[in-house]
Amino acid sequence: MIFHPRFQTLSRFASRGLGRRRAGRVARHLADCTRCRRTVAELRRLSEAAKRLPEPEVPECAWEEIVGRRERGDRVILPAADLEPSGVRSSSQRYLVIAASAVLLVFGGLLILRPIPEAAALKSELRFQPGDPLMGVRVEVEYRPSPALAAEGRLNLRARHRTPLHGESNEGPMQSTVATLERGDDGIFRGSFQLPDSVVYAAFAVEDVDGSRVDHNGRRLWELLVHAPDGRPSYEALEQKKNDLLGRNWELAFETVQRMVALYPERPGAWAELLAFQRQVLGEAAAETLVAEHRARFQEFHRELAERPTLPADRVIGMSSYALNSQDREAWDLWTERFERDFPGHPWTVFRRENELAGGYEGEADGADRYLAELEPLWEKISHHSSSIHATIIWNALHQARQADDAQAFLRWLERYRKHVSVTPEDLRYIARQTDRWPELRETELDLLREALRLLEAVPDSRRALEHGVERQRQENRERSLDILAELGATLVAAGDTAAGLDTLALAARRGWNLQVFRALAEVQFAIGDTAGALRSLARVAGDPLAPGSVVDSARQRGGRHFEPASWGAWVDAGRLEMARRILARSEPRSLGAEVHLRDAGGRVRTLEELRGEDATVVLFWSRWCGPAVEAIPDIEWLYGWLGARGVPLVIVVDEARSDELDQFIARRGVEFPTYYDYEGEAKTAFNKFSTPEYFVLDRSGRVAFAGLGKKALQTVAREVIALQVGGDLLGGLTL
Amino acid sequence: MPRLTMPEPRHDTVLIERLKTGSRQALHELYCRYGRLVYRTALRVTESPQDAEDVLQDLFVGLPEAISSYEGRGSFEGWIRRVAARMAMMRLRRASHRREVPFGTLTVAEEEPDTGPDAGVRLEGVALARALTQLAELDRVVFVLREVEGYSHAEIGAILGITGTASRSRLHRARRELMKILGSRQ
Repeated sequence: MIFHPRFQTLSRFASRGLGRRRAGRVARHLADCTRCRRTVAELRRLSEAAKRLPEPEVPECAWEEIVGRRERGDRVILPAADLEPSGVRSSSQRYLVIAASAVLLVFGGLLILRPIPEAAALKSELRFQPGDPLMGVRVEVEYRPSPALAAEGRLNLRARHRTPLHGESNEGPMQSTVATLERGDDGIFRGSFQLPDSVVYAAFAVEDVDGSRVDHNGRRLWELLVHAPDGRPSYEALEQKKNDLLGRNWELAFETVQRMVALYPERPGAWAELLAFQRQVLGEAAAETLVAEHRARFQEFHRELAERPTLPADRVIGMSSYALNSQDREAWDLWTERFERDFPGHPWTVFRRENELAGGYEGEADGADRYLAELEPLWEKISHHSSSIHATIIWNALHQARQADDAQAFLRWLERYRKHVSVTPEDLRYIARQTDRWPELRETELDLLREALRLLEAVPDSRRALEHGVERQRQENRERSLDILAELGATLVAAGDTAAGLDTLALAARRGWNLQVFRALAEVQFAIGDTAGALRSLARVAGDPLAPGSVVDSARQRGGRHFEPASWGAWVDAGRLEMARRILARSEPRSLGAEVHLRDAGGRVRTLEELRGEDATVVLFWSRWCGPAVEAIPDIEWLYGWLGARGVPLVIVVDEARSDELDQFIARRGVEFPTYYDYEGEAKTAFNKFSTPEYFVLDRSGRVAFAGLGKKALQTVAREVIALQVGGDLLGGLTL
Repeated sequence: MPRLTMPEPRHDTVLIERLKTGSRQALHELYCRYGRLVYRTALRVTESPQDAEDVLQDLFVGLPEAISSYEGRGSFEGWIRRVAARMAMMRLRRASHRREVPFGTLTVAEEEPDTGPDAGVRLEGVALARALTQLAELDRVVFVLREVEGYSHAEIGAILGITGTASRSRLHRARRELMKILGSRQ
């Protein structure tokens, strides 16, 4: 019997896609087989014909249309993300690409999930097989280690799993160790894990078995998206990727939404998401030019879907959201009503009704009571499962129970919170605070606060961020516990246990630098007659750059005869010194390792060295394509003024070349701080910048002493700069 | 209307730098160089002259802002064609996509007797164009991108959001189907 090569093999042979040995085998077969020879000839003829398809004529007037549209302010965001080949920029990167290709040859079909990023992440690679898994499959892992982990015999692979039900937050018990990776003779670590059935997206990091050294791929992490049978990443996987990125890198989240639209343009929900992102990044005025385009697309969807008798829930929710984001009130009502009619038992329908109840009864004397009563039967419909919508409904109900002064209802909804929501310490603290109007719930309040503290003390694997080692998470938890300790101390005092309350607050004051703790301590000290102690506590507050100016007045007024300007000044100085010590103790300075060249607004090339200040320098990465970075403009302006008054330079680095468009954007936003252009990408590489608005505080030797990300973190820059200045002026010999 | 020519190999970098500073002249020159390619790619993916023209317009309307995401790691021609192909795919994937007469100009070519020196080859092209319309959508697009436009499987994967392996197996399937369709006509 003659065995003919498979069609695929002949097809690859015809297009010269087989290796030499296999091609030789096929050629030998063809010499004796007329049938296969004919197939190959036909395949080649097909390819030839394909190259001779007639050239189409380009329509006339297209250019005039393009010019006209641009002049009318029309703008289109192109799906250009991830379309360039990963770069070969440096010799080390070139080596890695070659190495990667070699591995690819050995393990055909292995997929590198993201382009190899720069700096720290250049040192390692994590690969999955298959790289495009279906739900619930077993995944083989290979890890080419960073130097820091290369000497280990065994490593842990940690993951954050996301199911379609997960919301935008990465908080809660979402992490776990999914595999142990064993080191092979070739220095590569290998292991495998089973993807849980419901998981559609997972982010990964690798660490040593003690959890002390973590490779988080320069904070980018690695990722795995569950794919649909047609080979595309599933819609739910992309949605969860977007959710996972939202708190980490807004721009990548935006790119993911663009990809959702590119791969699933038939989903109105993806377009609704895109419009929401565009609004945030372009501003309302600029986004208006895009809204017309979105409205036209919405109408197309509407024409196509409105008459269909049945539609899946996500399609109808997508239409509602798209109508809402396009500000089409009428269509929003129509699609929302349709959803409520078609899916009466869906959490979203209950959420809508809940909102209507709250709105309908607002301002009425017994409104909250009626709201709570009428919400019960609605809740019953969805109480058998959980989702992020459940959490929002519960949260609203707790608020209404407080409004209604109904402690029993509050406890009932608290129980539901525990059952349906992944408890976080911050949520527990917030709920505890809501109980303060009911003296009979004092013990509940204390229990909630203690539970929050226990969660933070324990540092369980499930709640440890992928980017953090155990010790780093412990430090962060210690910081997070301060607000809760302040609350607990004040609650104990209010419950009559002054000694325990005072102990708790003193413990918190020793543990870290937190203005709420000092204020709470001062209150108790005033209350027990320790006015001098209270003034010292308030002086700590006054020494902090984030404290309101009214602290001095308050101290003078409440301190009475104990308030002496000279002593007060000395206490404030001592407080500031203490703040500096505590903040400097957290610093782990690192050198940049390379000179950084930037271009200023006038086009001149400047080195970062030239721009550095005497005691400290703040470098801030900013992007007009990042919603949070755009939102942070007022904060950056405040910081620019604050630092300027103290002679500290703020170097704002924009990750793109200078252009008229960028100038116009900056002018339109009324930005008045000077910007520098990272025209060679040197700054991005040297700082290992991952997201925006990300800042770095340099000490007097130009080392990175502190770093932080996000609008909220920007506030701490002032403290860190003072720490460096005071550290230099007052601590003298203190070295970082 | 400006004349469209095939791209020249040099000076793209200069034009791109000028486009980044907002130069309309640079946009115009890039349009003259790449407009035809963009339109052709879009038409072959969507099979709709209207959709292809929309892609052509949208791409050049959005190019001045999008150019910052091109970092010069590969050729600009490759980049712009991939953007065009992705945009065309987006249009194609919309369920409301209207199928129009594919490769409109071909209808005439088939109806009138063709007796030129390459008549056989041209007619083969016409038959292939017809046969392509009978393929499953994604198979057809993979075939067009690979065999007509010359993309690698990795590039096709990036455009369509599938893996290179999936692209490869779709290509084989498309070839097999096309051979069946064309064979049955002979």
